[in-house]
Amino acid sequence: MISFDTSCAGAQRSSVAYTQDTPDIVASISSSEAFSREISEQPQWVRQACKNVAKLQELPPNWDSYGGEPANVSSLLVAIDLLRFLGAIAGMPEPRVGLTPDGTVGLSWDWNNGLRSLQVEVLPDKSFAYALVAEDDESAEREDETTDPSTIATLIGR
Amino acid sequence: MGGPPEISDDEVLLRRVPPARDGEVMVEPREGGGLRASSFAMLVRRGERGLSCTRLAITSPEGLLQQLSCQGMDPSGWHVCRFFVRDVQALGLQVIPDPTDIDPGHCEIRPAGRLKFAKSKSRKLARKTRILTDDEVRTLQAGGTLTD
Repeated sequence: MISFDTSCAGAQRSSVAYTQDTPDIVASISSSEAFSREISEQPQWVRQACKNVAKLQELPPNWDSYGGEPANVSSLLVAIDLLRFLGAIAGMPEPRVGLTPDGTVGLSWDWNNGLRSLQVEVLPDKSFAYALVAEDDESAEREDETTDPSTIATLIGR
Repeated sequence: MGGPPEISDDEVLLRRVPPARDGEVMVEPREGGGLRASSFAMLVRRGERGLSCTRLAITSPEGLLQQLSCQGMDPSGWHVCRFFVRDVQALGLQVIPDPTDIDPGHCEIRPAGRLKFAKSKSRKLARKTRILTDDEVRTLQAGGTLTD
C-alpha cells in the first residue's frame, strides 16, 4: 500500500511522506545466490545497471513533479532480465537507466557523438517499446515495439 | 480573432528536471558545454496530450521551482532546463498556452492533430535543452536576461 501526503500552503514548504509497503522484490532477486553467481560472470556494468534499476523502486509518486508514476515492479524485473540478456553479448555497451513518467524502466544508448541513440521503454508485459533516433539520417529512424530482446541488441550501435 | 495568443519562435520555455539520484540519469553533458536534460526528463505519459512546460516571459525559473512547494516537495537539488519555441517547432511540434491557477505561464508541447508524441521527439528535444546554472536562475529572478 502506498501513501503519499501532499499539501499546498502557499509558499510554505512541506515535507513529503512516502512509504511503499510492497516487498522489495527486485532487491531480493538481486541479492539471491543464483543471481549473484550468474551476474558475476557478466561485465561489471550489468551488476551496476541492475542496481540502478532496483533503485528506481525508491522513487515516490509524482517523482518528476509532472505526475510521474512510481516504478512498476514488473517492468523492473523485465528490465533486469533484459540487462542480463544483453550483458551476455560480447562488447555490449552500458545503457543509461531512468524511470519513464509511466513508471516503466527506460534504457538508452548513444553513439556517433550522440547523433544516434536507442531509447527503450521496458513494458510490464515483457515487451519493449523502442525508438532508434538517427539525427544524421532520419530515414534510418525506427519506432516500434517488440517482445524479442535480440531485436534490441541488434539495434544498438546500428 | 479569439484564438490563443501567438507565441514568438524566439521565446524561451522552461521545464523542471528532478535531482540526479543514485544511478539514474536526469541530466547529461551538453554539446557545446554545460548540462542538458536527459530524454527521460522530456517524456510524456501514455495518453497524455503534451509535455508540460512554462514560458519564461511569464514564469521565472525560481517561480517554477517554488511551485514544487505546492506539491509538498523540496525544491533543493532540482534543475530548470531552457529551450526555444523554434526548437519545438523545428520538430513539428506545437506550443499551446495552457495557463493554470498555479502557473500562468504553463503551456503544453503537443504533436499536430492526433499524432502520438514520439519518443524520438523527446530525445531530440532533450538535446536542445540547457540546464540553467544557479547564477542564471538568480539573475533571471532579479530581472536579468539570458545571454544564451
